[in-house]
Amino acid sequence: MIFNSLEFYLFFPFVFFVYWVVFFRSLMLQNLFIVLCSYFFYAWWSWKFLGLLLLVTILDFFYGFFVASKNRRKAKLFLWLSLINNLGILCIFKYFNFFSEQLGIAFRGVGFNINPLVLDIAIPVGISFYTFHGISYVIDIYSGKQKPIHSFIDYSFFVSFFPLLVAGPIERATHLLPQIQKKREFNYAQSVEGGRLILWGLFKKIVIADSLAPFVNLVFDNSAEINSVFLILGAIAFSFQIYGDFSGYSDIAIGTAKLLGIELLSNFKFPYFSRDIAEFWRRWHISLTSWFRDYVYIPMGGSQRGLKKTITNTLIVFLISGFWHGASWNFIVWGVLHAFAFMPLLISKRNRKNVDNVVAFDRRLPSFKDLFHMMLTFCFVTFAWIFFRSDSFKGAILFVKRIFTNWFVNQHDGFLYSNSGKVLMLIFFFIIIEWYIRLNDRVIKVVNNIYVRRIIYSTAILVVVLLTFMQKGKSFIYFQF
Amino acid sequence: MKRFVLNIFIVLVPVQVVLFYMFFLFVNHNLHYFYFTRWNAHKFILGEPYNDQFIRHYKLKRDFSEYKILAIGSSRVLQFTSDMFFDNFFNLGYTANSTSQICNLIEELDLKNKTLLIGLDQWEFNSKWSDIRDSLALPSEKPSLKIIFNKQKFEDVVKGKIYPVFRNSKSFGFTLIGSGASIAMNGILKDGSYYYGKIYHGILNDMPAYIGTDYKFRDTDSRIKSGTNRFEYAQYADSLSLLKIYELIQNSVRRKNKIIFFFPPFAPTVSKMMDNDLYLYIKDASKKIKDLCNGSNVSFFDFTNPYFSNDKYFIDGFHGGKFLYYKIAQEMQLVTRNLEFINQFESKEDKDLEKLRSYFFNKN
Repeated sequence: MIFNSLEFYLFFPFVFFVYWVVFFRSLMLQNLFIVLCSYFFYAWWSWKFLGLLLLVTILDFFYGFFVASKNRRKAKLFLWLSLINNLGILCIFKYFNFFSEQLGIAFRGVGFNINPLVLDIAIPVGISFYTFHGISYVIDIYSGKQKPIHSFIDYSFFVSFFPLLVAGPIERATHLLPQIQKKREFNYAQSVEGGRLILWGLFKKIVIADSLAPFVNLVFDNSAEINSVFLILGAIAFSFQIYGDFSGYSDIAIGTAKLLGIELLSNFKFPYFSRDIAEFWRRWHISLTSWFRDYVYIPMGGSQRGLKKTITNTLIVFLISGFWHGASWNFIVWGVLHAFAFMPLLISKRNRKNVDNVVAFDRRLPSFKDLFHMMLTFCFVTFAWIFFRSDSFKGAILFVKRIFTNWFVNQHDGFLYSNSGKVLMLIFFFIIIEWYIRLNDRVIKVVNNIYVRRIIYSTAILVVVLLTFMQKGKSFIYFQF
Repeated sequence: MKRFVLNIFIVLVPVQVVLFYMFFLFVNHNLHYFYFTRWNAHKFILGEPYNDQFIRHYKLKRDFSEYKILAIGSSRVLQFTSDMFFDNFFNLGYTANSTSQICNLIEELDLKNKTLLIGLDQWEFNSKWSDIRDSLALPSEKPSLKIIFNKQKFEDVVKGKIYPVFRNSKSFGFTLIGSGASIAMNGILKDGSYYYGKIYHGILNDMPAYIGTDYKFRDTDSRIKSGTNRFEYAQYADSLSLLKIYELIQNSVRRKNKIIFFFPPFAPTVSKMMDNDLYLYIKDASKKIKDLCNGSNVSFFDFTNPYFSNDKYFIDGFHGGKFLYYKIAQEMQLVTRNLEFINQFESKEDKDLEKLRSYFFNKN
């Protein structure tokens, strides 16, 4: 089941009603109900992988007790077992074919012609997200930040909570579990904010991302026949498509959780208003970035062991981040590109320059300097997205090459001309709204007049419902990761 | 909680009103479907945006025992009308796009002792087209709620393709049923033929927007130049399609039907565009069909570029108008009525044309 579907529009009001009206007296029943709903939500996509989700949940739940042991050797052993289990499952489903093919290529390179073993299995949706939940739980117990919990229902809630089950945000046990274990009261302000976030998320997904998708798909699928100008516009459009798609998903997830009295981690903070690549990574997919920081970068020594080690650690984190997105060279190159853009800031110690403040926080428009830096960062990010969006590394290189060579190609111009105005309008409209709300992390400020506000909400709901019906619920890009 | 639910309810009220209104349009549109299938007594033009499914279901609901002459084929036979013939006539055009579909249709309707005017689209005998044509197979489903309540129609309500036609308007002596008829005056008549009100008006007043993409045969020209979209190039006639013709001939003997095959006309300008070595398959097919028909009671007429043709008689590059089809019927020696036709695309004296013009001008 996806958020932008009529099924979800029926599913969630039902969950909301039963959760608050029927089970509001019992925390245990509320949690059990959410777990069942989460499994139903997941089974809607594929019931065949429910077993895998359950297996991962059971294993980490029990590993938690062993990892909490005072015997550190035993704890360490079970920590490793948990990591091997989680990463092993991830590798089998997501990376096995990649490694097998690379091995085949390597053998062919030295003269041995072998047929690599390729598994014909689908990647279970959300596997990268729920395995990371399990890993974070076990590591937090090992490091003493979290105690193992004794309720399997509560732990299942943490791993399978449906708003974040398939595409995050990637939660931390230390953040989410205390909320799961605490009695929840309906909070009007929290619910209103949740409702607004859901609406804004759906709007970003359905109106922005899905409307840009046909243009982007045409450009990336036929780059050999597309004029350079449209190739550039297609790449820019993809930057906004993926942002609208993924941040839209995150907003819906956060909003849905709010309506159930749960606060999730923030995942996006207007990343395209970043003034350098370091700031971009503090604003883009925050839950993943901070996960890698806390569970990969810092355990490796972080920035505490000299510049050389810091650079190595950073490079590794970016590499893993790229690889996490997909078992393909283009994702790895995407990660490496970001690492290279990050390095000069790291070496010159300017990577924490824009940590605290939002661009133009005390004025309406940015200064020329800020604008220049924002545009420069955006251009680099868009360039890197070409590698992310292309089917292969070779495809990405060809795309970039064609930007410089396709000045006189004019196939598909009819469609592209007639749609480029719409694309630019959408992007412009999106930027304006984002700029207007940039100072508020999650609260979408709307006009103060309640009647005008209601009209805006009604119109937005209508547009979202109708487009959902017409677009037949296009899936979210991040489901594949 | 109550406050929150109340606020949600207030916000959702206008949404529900709009959705209900759209649902009403949607249902209203679909009511026409039931309405016209029972319609027999009145003159009407039925115009809906879903011609392919719609027309087929409507037409196949008829009792064919009362008809002596039937026209079968694609949209290129839709211009035969009942007033051309003394015997009872019904136009089954747009119900079969290929020779195999025609075979199936005759079996499906169990047609016996009829005169069947079978329009054979020339591209049917092009093997390059045959790969594509199967994907254009007509729906075989019977009218059902699945067809009536489908997402496509709802989407069209959203897009404004289905207009709020609250009552069936009357004009031109016809009751206009459906938004296509009310707005563009396009649609099927009671005898199964098709009325091209909007294009007809466009041709009369030289209005490109009304004529559509084939204004001055530009669309057909581009298809010919690119060799696409039914105008693929080929040297020889497709033997599989010829085999189907043979089956049809055998079938006619068994069912005691009198079959008249014909190649529908292209506009003279279009014929000139195609007069090269790229479309040799048409002549090849024509010759082979004639050979197949020899010695049977089946006749074949090649009207690819008839001597009596004129660009003015055409709706677009490969759809002739009523007058042209009247001439074709005459050539087939089927016409016993003297209608003293005034070509609907040529004469401005036609009273019907005046009415049509006023219909559109009043609307504009």
